[in-house]
Amino acid sequence: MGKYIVKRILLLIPTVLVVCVLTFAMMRMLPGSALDFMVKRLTAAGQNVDVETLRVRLGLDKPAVTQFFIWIGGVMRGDLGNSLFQYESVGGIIARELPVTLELGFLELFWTILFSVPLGLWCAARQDGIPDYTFRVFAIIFMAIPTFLVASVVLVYPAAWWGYAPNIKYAGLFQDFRANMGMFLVPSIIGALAQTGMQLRMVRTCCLETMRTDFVRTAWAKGCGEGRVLVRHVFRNSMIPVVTVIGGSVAGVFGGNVILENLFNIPGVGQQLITALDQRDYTVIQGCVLVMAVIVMLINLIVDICYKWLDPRVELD
Amino acid sequence: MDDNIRGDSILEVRHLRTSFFADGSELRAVDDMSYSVRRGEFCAIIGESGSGKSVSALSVMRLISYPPGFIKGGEIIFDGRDLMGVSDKEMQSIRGSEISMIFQEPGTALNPVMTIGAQIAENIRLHEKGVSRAEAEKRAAELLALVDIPNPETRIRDYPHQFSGGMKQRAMIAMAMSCRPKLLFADEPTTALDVTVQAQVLEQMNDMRRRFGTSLVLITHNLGVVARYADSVKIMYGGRIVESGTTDDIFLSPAHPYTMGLIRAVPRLDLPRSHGLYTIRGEPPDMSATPPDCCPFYYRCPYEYERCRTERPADEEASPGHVCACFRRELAAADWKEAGT
Repeated sequence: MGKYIVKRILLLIPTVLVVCVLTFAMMRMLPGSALDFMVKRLTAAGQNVDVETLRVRLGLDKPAVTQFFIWIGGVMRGDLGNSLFQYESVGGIIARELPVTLELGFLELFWTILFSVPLGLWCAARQDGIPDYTFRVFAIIFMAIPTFLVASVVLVYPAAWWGYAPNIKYAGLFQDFRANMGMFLVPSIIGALAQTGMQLRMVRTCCLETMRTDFVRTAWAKGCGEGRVLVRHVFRNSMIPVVTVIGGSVAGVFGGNVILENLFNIPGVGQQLITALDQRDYTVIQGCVLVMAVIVMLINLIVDICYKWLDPRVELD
Repeated sequence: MDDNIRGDSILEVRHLRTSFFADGSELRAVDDMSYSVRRGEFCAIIGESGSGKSVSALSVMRLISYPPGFIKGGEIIFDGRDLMGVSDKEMQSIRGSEISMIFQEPGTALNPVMTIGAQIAENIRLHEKGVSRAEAEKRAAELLALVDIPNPETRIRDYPHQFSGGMKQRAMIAMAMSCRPKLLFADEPTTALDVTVQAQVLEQMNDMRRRFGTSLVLITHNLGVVARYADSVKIMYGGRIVESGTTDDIFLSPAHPYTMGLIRAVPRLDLPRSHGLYTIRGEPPDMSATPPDCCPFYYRCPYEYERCRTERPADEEASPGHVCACFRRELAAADWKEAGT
């Protein structure tokens, strides 16, 4: 097991390198460079700018390949460089904002699993009953409505009717739990809606499939009651494909958070990324993408390890 | 004959009818089936695929799920009680403790994510309150030893995929017998196994049956197995029993043309290949299309005449204890005797 994990982590290195090369290349291919934006902004502020001096100061005078190796050399030493626009290191920005994004993402996953798994199992157990139809209809609706639409509606109408708005001042989870939840509760539930709809249908389908297997018939023939059949025999076997899908959706969850963070003004990596993209803040973009990529890969590794725990037939090596 | 057998019957099924409903049509899988099994008896139910053998066993255990299946009527008298009348809760306590079942595919009939020991222990703990987990596992190991699994104390921690097909089926037997049931259904338990393992598994099952005094209903289409082990045989066709009697009755003096066809269809190793294989012409009946008031075998039967198409043959005794439902049984029996097969 330990050997397997080490092997998988070593295999991450080439993948991470590819991610680095791709982000770096794509940023340089975008029309408009960081330099242009900075010159424009400074000129608008009425300052005289010497473009060439600025170019040298930003390190953009060297060929792109050299710039890449300077950056990647830093990355290998654990230094993600400094932001071109803010007086802060990229590492500092990420250390401050990554926990925010992770909290939002994991809260979404938490709601998704909390609602989709038991409800999916229940729908399967009472297939074609009224609750089953109701939940399935809602699942489709949740999947069909784009997150930004729900988020906008939730931001506009409660504010107009009751003067309610989610917190916009960030407080750490352990410093002030109520203020923290005041900020994260609503956006995380909105973010979880589409996922919940999708997973509920997935859980239901997998459970229905498992319920028709021979070993479930054996469980009935042994004299198990319905609860026992569902929990001991159907549930765990159905979770094998469900975990795959949930694991695969993690990347989507973090991607989708970029929009939610912006709409709800949550100071996370997503919001940072949007600002940085606008300004072509190369180092920030590269750093954020790199860190997110590593996190998604680590989560996939955890999912693979979960397989082994869920299904004894899986051989990890 | 086995000295295990006592006179009274453990199971008596009367006029059992189970149907499946799909797309507005009714498939009469079990259609007025009656039979009885005596205590300690080894009884075989023989029939082609689709004749309703498995459904009849699942009906007795009330494991037909609705929809699409439904037990339309009949009585299932098990050990003095009508199972059609007992509550779901009571039925649950009967399943696995008084009536057990072994299934056809050992590869899929065991839960892949539970250890063998845990699955056997579950059966014990479901029906015997107050048995600790450790105690149940110990008994699981003893049961595995009874079915000749080597190193049972360590093998109970194995998962089904670590067992071979024959071992899985033996573990199934151990599980089914863990509460010393009065009645055991074995639904084609050896069909999915290698020929070399089949005899072993059957021997084990028979051994466990004698040890615990269980009545066994073996559902199969393997006549060789039946001839070797069974005390009595029931031939099933089109959802009902068309002939029943002792093993000798059925094999030495069959009375129903279908039974004769089955016996003739057994491949023989002692005849030259030029001899060819015997087949019963036609296809098994489509039980959603066959009308109820006829002999379901008529259109495949060499003795068929007018009456077979319009009337359902009633059970008649060919000899004491040997019952056959055929209008032309005397004619068929005479032919059989003459052919001297």
